[in-house]
Amino acid sequence: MADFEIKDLRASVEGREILKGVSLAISRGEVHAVMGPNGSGKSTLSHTLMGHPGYTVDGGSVIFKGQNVLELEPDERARLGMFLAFQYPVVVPGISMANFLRTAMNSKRGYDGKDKSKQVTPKEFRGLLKGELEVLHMDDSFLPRYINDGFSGGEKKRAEILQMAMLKPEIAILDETDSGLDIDSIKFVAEAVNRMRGPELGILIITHYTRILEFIKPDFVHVLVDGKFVLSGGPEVAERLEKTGYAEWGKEETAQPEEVA
Amino acid sequence: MATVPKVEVGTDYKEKYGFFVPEEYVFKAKRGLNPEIVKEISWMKQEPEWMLNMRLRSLEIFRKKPMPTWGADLSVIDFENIFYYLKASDKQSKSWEELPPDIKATYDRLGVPEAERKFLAGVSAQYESEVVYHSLQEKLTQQGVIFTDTDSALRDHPELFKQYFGTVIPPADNKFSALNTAVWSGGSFIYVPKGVKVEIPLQAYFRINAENMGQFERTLIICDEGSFVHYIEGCTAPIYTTDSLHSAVVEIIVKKNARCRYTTIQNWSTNVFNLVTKRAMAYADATMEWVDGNLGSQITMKYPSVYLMEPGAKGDVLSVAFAGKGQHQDAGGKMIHVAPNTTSTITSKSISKGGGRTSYRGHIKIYPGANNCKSFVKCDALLLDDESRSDTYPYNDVDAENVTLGHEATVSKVSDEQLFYLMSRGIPRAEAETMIVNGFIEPFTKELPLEYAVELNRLIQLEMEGSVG
Amino acid sequence: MGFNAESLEELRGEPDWLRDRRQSALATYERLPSPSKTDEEWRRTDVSRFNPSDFSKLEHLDGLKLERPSGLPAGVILKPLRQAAMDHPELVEPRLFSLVHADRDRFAALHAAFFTGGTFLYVPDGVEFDQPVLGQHLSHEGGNSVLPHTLIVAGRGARFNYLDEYIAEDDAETGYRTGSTEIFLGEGSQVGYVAVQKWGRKVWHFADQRAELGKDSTLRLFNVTLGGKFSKTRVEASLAGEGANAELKAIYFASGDQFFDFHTLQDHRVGNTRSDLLFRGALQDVSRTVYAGMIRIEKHAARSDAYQANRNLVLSDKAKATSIPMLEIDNNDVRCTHGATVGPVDPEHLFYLRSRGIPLQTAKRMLIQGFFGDVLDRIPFEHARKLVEAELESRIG
Repeated sequence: MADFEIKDLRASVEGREILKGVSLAISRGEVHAVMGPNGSGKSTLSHTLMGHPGYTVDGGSVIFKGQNVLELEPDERARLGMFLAFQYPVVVPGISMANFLRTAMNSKRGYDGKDKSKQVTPKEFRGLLKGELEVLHMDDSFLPRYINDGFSGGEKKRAEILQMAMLKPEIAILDETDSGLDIDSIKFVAEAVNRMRGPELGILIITHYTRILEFIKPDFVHVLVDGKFVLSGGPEVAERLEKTGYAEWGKEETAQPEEVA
Repeated sequence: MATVPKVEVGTDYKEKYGFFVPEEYVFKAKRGLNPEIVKEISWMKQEPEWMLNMRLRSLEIFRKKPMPTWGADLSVIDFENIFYYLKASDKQSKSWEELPPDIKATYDRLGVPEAERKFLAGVSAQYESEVVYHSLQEKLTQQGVIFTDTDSALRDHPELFKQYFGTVIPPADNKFSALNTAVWSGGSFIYVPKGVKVEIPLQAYFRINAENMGQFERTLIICDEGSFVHYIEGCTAPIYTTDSLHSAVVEIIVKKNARCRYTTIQNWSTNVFNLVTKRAMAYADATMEWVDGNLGSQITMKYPSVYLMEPGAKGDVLSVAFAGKGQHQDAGGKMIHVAPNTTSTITSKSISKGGGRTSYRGHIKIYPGANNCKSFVKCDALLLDDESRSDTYPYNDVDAENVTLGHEATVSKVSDEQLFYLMSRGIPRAEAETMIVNGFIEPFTKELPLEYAVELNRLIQLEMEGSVG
Repeated sequence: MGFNAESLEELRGEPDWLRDRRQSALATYERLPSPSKTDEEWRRTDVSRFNPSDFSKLEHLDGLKLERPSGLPAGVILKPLRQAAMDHPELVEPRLFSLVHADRDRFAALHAAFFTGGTFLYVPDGVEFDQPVLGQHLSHEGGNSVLPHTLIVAGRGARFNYLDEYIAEDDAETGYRTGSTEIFLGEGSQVGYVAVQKWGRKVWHFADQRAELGKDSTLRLFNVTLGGKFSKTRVEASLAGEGANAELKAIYFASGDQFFDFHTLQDHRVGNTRSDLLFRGALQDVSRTVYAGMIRIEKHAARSDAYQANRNLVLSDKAKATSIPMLEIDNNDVRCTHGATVGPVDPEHLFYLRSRGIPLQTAKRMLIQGFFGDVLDRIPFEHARKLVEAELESRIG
């Protein structure tokens, strides 16, 4: 039995069926990539796994640590050990990144305002932060800024990975983390992710393009088309897509990005 | 900006502020309002005759003026069922130790002496009708700063007092300014001499303890040329089943190049009617800032205003209102541009929850000849559930040339996207909502000294838990 | 001489129900006092020098010119309102003055008692046509009253455009003018309505426009206010059916000593409704304008969106614009935004244009046109758009 098991997941958006029975088993220590053309259901998969209220689960289960996470609130899923790096991180005015991060870490540790021993100390916070900032080639000037407010595309994505590093999930879903990034940013992000790789972490990379997989080598690659997996295999699947795109499933889209100028 | 430490959950208003101590009074006037009561108050205070006459004249004005027909519903106030004057201690103390034990215990519990030790330059504590404690740092006294209660000021600084009292807000300004002038007692009197900058805030704490009490403090602040002062007021009361009335008048004169900041954290219990007139006159290149937070009370009607009297004057109102169940916060601000080249901004943030109602009510008036003025108003309202209500009533009258005026307002609920994002990081729903609300009022919080910012966020959390009242 | 029972006699030959209505409106007019300065709606709007009796001679019947689009589909009724009251009482009687109430104030009552020369347009269920209906309301002489009223009924799924044009033969005429409109939008109907007010520069003008929007209907209403020495227009949309969508736009250009007043209401009575209001005005000379708008979201009107913006470009030091945008929101699942600005031409913009060699007056004109530009694009049909562009050109240029 894998650590994180998606079984026959079906989901819809505004009455439109998007995921039509997706099954996937991820164990800690593994890196899975889900690839697919536009409209195949990639973002529905990530949002449904994390419990976005705009997505309706029509059937199936997602078992993690003995629980069906589909029955849990998004924050419960996160505290259980899941993490989603958003494709479009939202701007939240008025709340500083620092406050946000600390509150999230305290929540994860079960600190409810009473048991001070569970609280993240300023020293610990700074220590954790410092190491991760270096890897991501960031500085701490973003801390007093409001959540994602005024961040460039690259800054937003790096800030997502920073949050992942701080929150130490066991299952991390990276939703199109490479989109909109230049090659250097992709490298920094990949480096940070690779540093976190290990027997305690399972990773699900959701991507349209193969490029990020050059830097974060997947153990398994699954191809999602029209809400279903049409092909699963090892890294060779990504290589095949790199050459032929999604043509064999009737989609005229390549799996290589246009060069970012 | 203020970062907010994790706060303790579970304490509520009742425990922290809503307690009361048994009533023991040196003097308690009879219920109700008549010339005899007014004479009695004046006699107790051994006031000069001009003040007694002014009080009696104001009582008549109060009798004649109709109740306002706009804003909140005030018809439930029974003016005859209120105690207009209560004296709890027969002298004013300069140390907390000298206070009657139960009064001292009250302020200890509210944390006022501790705050004084940590971060205040002067403190005034009013209990019912009279100021019972007063202090000011020696250094400021030497610089000529006067910070005393208003009754003492009438006695000790009669000329300064008479020169300014009632000049910014005359008794006939409105029904409640007339009432206040008739029965006023306590409040703060501040004079900051030319060029003196009081860098550390002065604070007054207003406490109502008795049932059916009416508190009518009167505050007068004079900032002489080039000076600066930051004055903070806080207020709480026990929770009774019958109502109390708080009707203050605050007059401020900000002279050339001076700056005054007046911060209020209003946290009356939800049986208090809070009907306050606050107005400042700002002269050449002077700045007046009202930072006005309204969380408590059953009904608040309060519109801090600035009269921009000479070129270069600047007025600023930053207002936050939180209305929970049974509360109506009718708040806002007024900017009266009398002189050309004056600027003003009003920023209002309001939150309604559990059937509460917030109304922004504002007035921008630009008089003929007050050319080249700029004024900007921004109102944002957050509605936390579908029982609550928010209104926006901005009134603008521009009679001058080359004026730039802007008004923006939004009303929304807590964004599902923001909530989901926070929850996806493991933050429980209630706490995520509180964070978003605190983020919403952050432009206000960041203007407060850190300790008050923390306190405000804590109060918001209490309100969000719905445990108040 | 004045507006009284005797002058009502002039309007003979109408059905009894309409006579009764006029008489009752006249009684209301006689009963109601003039608006008081303490009334918020009239605080900045001075009517003390307006004496309707000065203009109690009615110009009627011949004041209306209706342009019937060729090939109007069968079943469409388009005729002068008084004629329609006789021919189609079953359509007119239940609706006339049911949205624009005669007892709202003294002026509404006077209009309801003495209206003449208006239009009735009825478009049955499912009928669509492209060519707009043009109603021209003409005043031929000064010193009198011209009081047209438009009643439009759109059946289910009907789609059409209508233009009311209020035209003075003599720009210097005095008089009392109105131009009120009631529009009923049936389920799924789409109505474009444009009113262009260019009465003479010395008249008193009062207009009450109110539309009721049924389920999934769309109203695109556009006002252009140019004429009158005093012009007061109320624009109200009552969103009564889910999915209803009201777009309320206006431009006004005030010059000389003109005074314009606009009061608008976006009344969201049910959920899933949308309204979008934009009033843009430019003022020069010693003109004055007042805009007061209310967005009301009623208790159960969840998932409603409402926008309201009033922008004023003040081109002269002596011109004054007042803007009062108000909200009353009783439901939290809504998005409401409003904004108002009053200000002169941005000096940076002016400088930039001039630094490229454009003379001051030309640059100003370009900026004014730019200011109106994005609203002009929202005029719902081509004919009206061209008319308005030409009007603006001649007034700004």
